[in-house]
Amino acid sequence: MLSSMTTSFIARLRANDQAAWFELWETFGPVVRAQLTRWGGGRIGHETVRDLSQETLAALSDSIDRYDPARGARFSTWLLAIAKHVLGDEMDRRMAMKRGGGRTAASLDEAWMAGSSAIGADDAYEAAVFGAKVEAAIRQVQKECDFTDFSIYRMRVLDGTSGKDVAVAIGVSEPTVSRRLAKVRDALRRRIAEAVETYSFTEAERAEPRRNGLDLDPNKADDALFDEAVAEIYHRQMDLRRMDEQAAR
Amino acid sequence: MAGPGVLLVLLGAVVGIVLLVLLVMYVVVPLFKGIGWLIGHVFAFIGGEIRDALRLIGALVTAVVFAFLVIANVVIGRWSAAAHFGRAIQGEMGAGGACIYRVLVGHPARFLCLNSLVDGLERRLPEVVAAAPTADTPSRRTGKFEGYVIVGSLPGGGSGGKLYVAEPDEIRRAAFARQGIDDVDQVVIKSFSLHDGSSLPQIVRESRALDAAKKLGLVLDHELTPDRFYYVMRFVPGEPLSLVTQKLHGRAPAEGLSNAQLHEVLGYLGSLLGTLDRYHRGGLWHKDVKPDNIIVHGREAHLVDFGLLTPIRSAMTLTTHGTEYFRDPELVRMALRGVKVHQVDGAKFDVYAAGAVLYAVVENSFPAHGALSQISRRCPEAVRWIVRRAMADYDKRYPTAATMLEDVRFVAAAADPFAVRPAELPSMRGVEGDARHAVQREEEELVFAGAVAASHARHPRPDAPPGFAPPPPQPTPTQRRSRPRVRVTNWWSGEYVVSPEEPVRAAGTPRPRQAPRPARPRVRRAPAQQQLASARARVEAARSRAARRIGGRAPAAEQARFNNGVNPGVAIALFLFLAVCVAFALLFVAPGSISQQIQRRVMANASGAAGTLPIPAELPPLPALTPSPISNGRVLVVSDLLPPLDDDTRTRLDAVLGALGATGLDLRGAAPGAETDSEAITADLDLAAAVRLARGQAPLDSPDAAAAIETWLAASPEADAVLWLTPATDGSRQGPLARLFVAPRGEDWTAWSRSALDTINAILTR
Repeated sequence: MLSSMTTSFIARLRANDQAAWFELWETFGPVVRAQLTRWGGGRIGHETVRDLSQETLAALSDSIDRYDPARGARFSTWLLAIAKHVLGDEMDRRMAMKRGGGRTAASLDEAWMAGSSAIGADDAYEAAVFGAKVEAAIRQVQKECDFTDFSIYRMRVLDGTSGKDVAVAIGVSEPTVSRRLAKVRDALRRRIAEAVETYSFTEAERAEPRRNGLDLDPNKADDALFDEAVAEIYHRQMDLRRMDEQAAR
Repeated sequence: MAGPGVLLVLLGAVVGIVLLVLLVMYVVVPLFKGIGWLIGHVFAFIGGEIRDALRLIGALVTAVVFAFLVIANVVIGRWSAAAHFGRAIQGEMGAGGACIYRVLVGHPARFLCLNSLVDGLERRLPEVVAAAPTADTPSRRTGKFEGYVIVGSLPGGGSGGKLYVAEPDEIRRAAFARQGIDDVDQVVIKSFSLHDGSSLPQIVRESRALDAAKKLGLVLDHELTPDRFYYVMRFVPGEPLSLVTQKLHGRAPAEGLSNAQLHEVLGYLGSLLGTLDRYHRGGLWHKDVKPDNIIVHGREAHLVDFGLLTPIRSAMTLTTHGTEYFRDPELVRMALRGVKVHQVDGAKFDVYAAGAVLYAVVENSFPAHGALSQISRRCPEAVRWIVRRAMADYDKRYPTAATMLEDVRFVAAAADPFAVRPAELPSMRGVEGDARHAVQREEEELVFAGAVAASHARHPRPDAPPGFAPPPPQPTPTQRRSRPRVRVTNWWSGEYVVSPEEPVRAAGTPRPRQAPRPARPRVRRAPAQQQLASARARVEAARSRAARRIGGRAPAAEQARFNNGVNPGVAIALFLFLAVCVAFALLFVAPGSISQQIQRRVMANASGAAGTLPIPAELPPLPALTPSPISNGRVLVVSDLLPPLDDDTRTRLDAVLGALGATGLDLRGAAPGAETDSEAITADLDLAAAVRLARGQAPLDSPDAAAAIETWLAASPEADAVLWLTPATDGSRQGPLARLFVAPRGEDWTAWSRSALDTINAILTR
């Protein structure tokens, strides 16, 4: 059963809301590119990967009207299946060109709706998709929080600077640092919950934060563990982006 | 006693097991890993060699197929398709070349663990080659740039334009001087031509930016025609910041830039921010700030390429143009929402890009994570803060470039940048407003005329801190500049002298808001008659120039608008085709000399040793010809046999000619039964015609004919004998009949010819 946020997001995509599509591209583009690069195995260049990842989202736009929530597919599988379809289409096109013919139209395989095992999703891909959701939440928090507050959180949690050093650098007291950290952390919990709700189709996907050490209930949460998990995911995503950037150079 | 013994045994066993485990862990496992690595290394090498060899073969086969397609399309007149397949050939040849390189150099070098060696060839070399400037002169279809002499070219950017370095001629320099622009030694011409692959949207976009650039005096000259657009800027020498960054990091320690290098980098950013601030206060937004568009010369950084320059108050809709990683994602979102330019503060997007540039220079990498990008190299916390603040959300970043400039200046001025805390930055202390006004006041005194600090790039001031030296005085309306005054001394001959006097105000330069308007200078006017004559002369000169321009361009404008000309791939295909045709002609069409023909025919059969008859297997063994008494004797073969010859006759003729050739004689004339229209045997045919003429109408077996031929032989130095082949004239024998006429070369020669003739006729007789 889809949540209202997911339904709303899909409705925006179906309405061809460009901002929604850009959001999707910004959030999951690197993940799709990394997966396409892995599948390509050196046979396709970076520029082609970029084109294909854009085509993936375009194909998503075409197929979104046919999405059937009753089939129980995960969001990550949905994304992956479209990417695989686009890659397969590209390969078919190349083979067809080698044979001297035109582009052969490949039919979009709707098998992704059934489950992820046949598509070839692995743990690394699932982790990357979840990381992209957390990254989207961090970006959202960065937008809505005060610059100094978020900088404190960034220095303390993401950069690993001690609370005392942060206080000295910013010119505030340590209790102030703690207070502002808590403020940003609460906002981040809310945004992660929203991002996971928005980009999840199944209950298993909605339970991913807890499995990854991100307890979204502020009353029960261990703040240190939460911060540590956020930092780990952030650095993992940054490595993914860095690889993407290096491939682009 | 058994207890301690058992204990010792147990202890020994435990120690042994531990040692065994350690041995396995630290010796056996690494050893096997090493062996596995070695095997994998060898297989990777072999696999790579095989793979690339197959790719090379595939590329060659594909190129050949494409070559045929090119030829076919050329034949049927489909030039566009031929050009398309030609480009495909180029691609295949490039792939083939890369395969050859990998097979011969790449894989062997990697196999020998020389990765660093091939990295230079495979990464840096292509980068440098790709960044190489284009042709030093514009193509004929692009045309010349009147008033400029092209002296070189620069690598083109992503805008599709071609960049030429040129020197203005005297007339153009005088024109610049009239506009108040002095010291223009060299300029850069950015040209967009439909013939050189530029598109109409590019031309429209660039020409739209032109109006804005002219406001800042960045553009010296421009021209727009139906198929070409170019504009002229000052030439700023130096290297792009991206290259400077690479060099800095190449010299820097592994952990990051040193303090001195950080100081240098902050200086460049200071220059950039100062320039951006002037742009913004001039009402413009650069929109494409990135390291490649920043030229470093001396200790200054100059912003170039204003193809995307946009007026901040423009009523147009935002576009997503720009460069990824240096373009604020928020700009894309706004553009997708259809926000107008004047509804946003475009300066803030330049500030974001400046932050991204600072990140890229410090980190030697692109800010792939956007505002969340983390600086992992050695960097003062204050600089990290500046980067974050610049790349923060649209509403939270530095409001102006001047504010950011203050922070950068503060860090750069500190003795130890690492000791500066973010809390100490001017923007954090709430002094940004004052600082901004101070900067504005300082900059108000300077006027933006000419290209951005190009002139002081030529005269860097080493005593000033990098990047923070106020730009040198630019020509301003408040400054009185001398315009050369031309005084005509002889109206009939057109002689004149130039005297530097008469200060006048520069035209086209913006007027400072607070500067007092200078008094209008008194210009001494020439008599009306002279003014009229001068005006007429100028008009006439302008008309003739325009006529030359129009006359020169008319044919070009009528040419095809779509560039589907011959490309290197088409040339390669045509060359291959011609090569194949020539080879085919040499092998199968051109018969060459009769000796070569016979040699080919004889070699096709089982040839014998010299002096023996190379008789085909089906013929009975025959006596061999004795060697010729004349070395290199020339025998002219004249045949009256009518083609087509039957196989048996042909075989026997081949045997005869082969036997003669084997005796050391040089056979001339057409091989019986062969095509005789080759140029290669034209001379021999002339000889045959001459001997036929000499023979006349006399029957071949008559004494008259023999006498005539022998006389001809005696007079002709080009033949020592004539072998005349005729059909059998009676039914007593089958097969052709041979007659041999010899020149008087001695008794041996005559005797040899008689025996040879008997042998020849024996071979020819069935």
